[in-house]
Amino acid sequence: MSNQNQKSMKFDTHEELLSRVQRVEPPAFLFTRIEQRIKNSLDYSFSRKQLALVSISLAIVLSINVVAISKYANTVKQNANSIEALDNSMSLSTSNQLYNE
Amino acid sequence: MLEVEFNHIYHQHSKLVYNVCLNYLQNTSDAEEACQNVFVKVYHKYDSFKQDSEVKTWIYRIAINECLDQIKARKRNKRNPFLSILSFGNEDVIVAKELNHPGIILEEKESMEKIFKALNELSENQKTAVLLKSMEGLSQKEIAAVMNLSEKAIESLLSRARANLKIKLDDNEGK
Repeated sequence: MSNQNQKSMKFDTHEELLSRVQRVEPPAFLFTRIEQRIKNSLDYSFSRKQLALVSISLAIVLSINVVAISKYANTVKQNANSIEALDNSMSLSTSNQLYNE
Repeated sequence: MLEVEFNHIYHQHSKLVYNVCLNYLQNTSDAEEACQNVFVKVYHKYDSFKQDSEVKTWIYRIAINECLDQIKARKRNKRNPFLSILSFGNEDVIVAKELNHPGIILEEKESMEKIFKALNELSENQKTAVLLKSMEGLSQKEIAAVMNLSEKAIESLLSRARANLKIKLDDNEGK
């Protein structure tokens, strides 16, 4: 028998061997474990409604913060401007060097 | 998903999933772990399953992807054992195991070990095609549906897999 034929026969037996592997029943405890895992995953999972509520409230808090910070920045700027205007109207010196006038 | 519906799906497909995992991972503890993950995924994803394929085909896909993920995790852990200690929630991922397949009779264990070794050296697609064809007994059409490929692609994949398997087996025997 040629080498090629021997090799193909060998391969046929390999495929045959693979097909002879018996099918096995899954262990009985597997279903209980799966049920338990599903139960655990449900306990720790959030519904879409809950997630939407949390994200909306986070967005509101963030936007309030942004508005508050920008308003605060505006008032600081306005205060600085009004102090400067007062200085100019009363012709006050803004320098700290008192003896060089 | 209703509990009754899940029970029905589990009892109809548990043997299929367990055997696919067992053939892929060749180890009972890995197969049990993978099988659990598959059915947890089935439970959570069933409502979004579009029914454009059969439930059986869909479950086959989930099972194969789960096995591939486990093999990848196994390789990753083997390459970097330090990181595997740090990976939280992944404690069950097992680093390379010896053949522990209850479906193999003792007299054939040695030769099956050689075949599985060669099979594991094939590419993911080739291994999947051979396992589905030889061990699950699926037709080329069914394999094409599971792997989301055309029948022609499966045909060439199988012939390339057979050729590669032959080479690998000869190489391993020569060693």
